[in-house]
Formats: sequence, structure tokens, C-alpha cells
Amino acid sequence: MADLTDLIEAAQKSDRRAAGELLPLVYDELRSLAAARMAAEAPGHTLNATALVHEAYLRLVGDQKFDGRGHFFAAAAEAMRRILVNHARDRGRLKRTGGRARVELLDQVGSLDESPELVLSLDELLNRLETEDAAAARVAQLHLFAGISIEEAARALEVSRAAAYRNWKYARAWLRDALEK
Amino acid sequence: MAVDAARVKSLFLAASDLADRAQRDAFLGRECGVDAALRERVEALLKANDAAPLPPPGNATVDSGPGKRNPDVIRPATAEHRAKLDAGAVISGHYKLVQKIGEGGMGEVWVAKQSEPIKRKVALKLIKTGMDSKAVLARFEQERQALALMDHPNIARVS
Repeated sequence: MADLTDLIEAAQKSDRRAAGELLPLVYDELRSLAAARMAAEAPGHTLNATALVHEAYLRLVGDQKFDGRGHFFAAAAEAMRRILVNHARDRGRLKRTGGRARVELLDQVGSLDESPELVLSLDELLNRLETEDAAAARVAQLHLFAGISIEEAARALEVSRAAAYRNWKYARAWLRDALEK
Repeated sequence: MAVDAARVKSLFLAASDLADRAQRDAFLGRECGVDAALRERVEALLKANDAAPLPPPGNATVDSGPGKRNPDVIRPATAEHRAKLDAGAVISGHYKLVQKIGEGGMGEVWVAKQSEPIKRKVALKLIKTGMDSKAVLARFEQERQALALMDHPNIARVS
């Protein structure tokens, strides 16, 4: 298997095959980290997406300086979304979380897994938002699932900070409105 | 009639910058005209946003003024642009990090040396980048309030 940093470099040169290989690599790493974390913790323990993503980054990339962070975070957000959705489904009977509490979790990055039901709703809502406004959905996915700040999401998406912020403001209001229904 | 999402978005973003209710109403009245469905959709998003407004970008340090007489102060701090923290780094101008003593999902706790207005050792609780949302900051504020009400040698004091 190719090295992650090689893949990211190739992905940056818009090599689609490399971008395609990046996701499974990041996904496997995140999934094994998540599994190890769940095994070590008491039942009912939740995953901290932010911590997992940063740990995966350190394991795969190390602390060397490199400019492919955006590609890594995009893959990590997508992978983390799938992991959390699968995890939420595995948890069987879902704990009901009220509209208000669900909406508040949107502002507690990394705490999404506290509500499996919210993860499943968000997955569905982000698919819907994606068809209406792909740019807003991308910022929301990076922020909510990779747990990175809006500023970091702007760098990852190579857009201005102001543009990322406005997209998040819109996506957040859109999600809050939909979740309260 | 289907509502145009792009139009909703631009009206929402423009209207959300208008804090004044009357100005906002005038703006929406002018832009939406007789399109009630459009106006309703924009108003719904504004309502969702206003319920917990997003802090403006680049909101940095929360620092509630110089500490007073108590040692062992817990003080929340946060900074959007904070890089990886190392011993020796200076936070908010007068807290020099000495040693990391704890780490959790939300951030880190450091032993720090305060230089101003008095010299003393404090415990500094730092919120992770990306975790400094309104809800998390509110939780920190609650913790501060709770600690401020307590006075026991084994409980950290807050100022």
C-alpha cells in the first residue's frame, strides 16, 4: 500500500486514483483507533471525533510539516461520518434526544457521538443540504465530523475564511431549523 | 411554488447581519415582495440562527480581567489561532506555561506562572482549538461560577 503522504501529494496534483485510495486508508486507521478506544473504555462511552482525527493524523502523517492537511481532513471527515453512522446503527435502540439538546450538540464539536440519533439525522440532513448547497454541506461535514475549526476548514477547502464562515453560518441555521422540526 | 435555495441563502446571510428588527423587516419586505414562501423560509433560518447566534469569526481570548489575591486560580482561556502549546509559551500576555498536568476531550490543564499583576503559580485551563464554541464557553463559565462559590483547601479557587 502506498504511503499516506505520497497519496496526498498525488491527490493534490489532482490524481483521482490517489484521492480514491486516500479515503480507505484514513477510514481503516480511524476505524481501528475507534475500535481500540471503545474496547478500552466502559460500555456506553462515546467517541471523541476530534481527538480520533488528530490522533490518526499524527499516526499517519506524524508531526512533519506538510501542506496536504486539507486532503487529509476531507477524507477524515468523510470516514468519521461513516464510522459514526455505523456505530449509531450498531447501538440498536436509539436513545431519544430532544430537539433542543440535539441543536446544542451542533456547537459542541467532537460530541456528536453522544447522540446516535443525532448522527443519523445529520447524515440524512447533510445529504439533503448537499443537493441544495454543496459548499455549505462541505464546511459542515468538515467541522462536525472531523472536528476542525471553521478557520481550518477554510484552509482545507482552499476558500477564504469569510466564505467558510458564511457557509457555516448558513449550514448551521439550516441544520438547527431542520433538527427542531 | 418551490423556493430558490441560493436566494434564501443570500437573503438569510444579508438579513442576519442586520441587528435592528425594523431594518431587517424593511429589508425582507423589499427583497421578498409578495413571495410569502420565500420570506417564511428566510425567517425560519433567521429564527434558528438568532436562538444561538454564531460568535463572529476570530473571537479570541476570553479573559475576565486580572486575577486578585487567591493562589491556585483556574482561568479559562481560548484562542482561535493557538498553535501547539509548549512549556514557556505565554498566554494572554502574562501566563507563562510551566508544565502540562492534564488533558481531556475539551482541552488541557497547565501549571503556569502569572507575572501580572502579582507573581504566583496558577492552574490554567485551556480550551482546545475548535472546542471554543459558545456552548463550551458557557460550560466553562458555569464551572467558574461554581468554583467561585466554594472555599476549601482542596478545591481550586477562582478569581
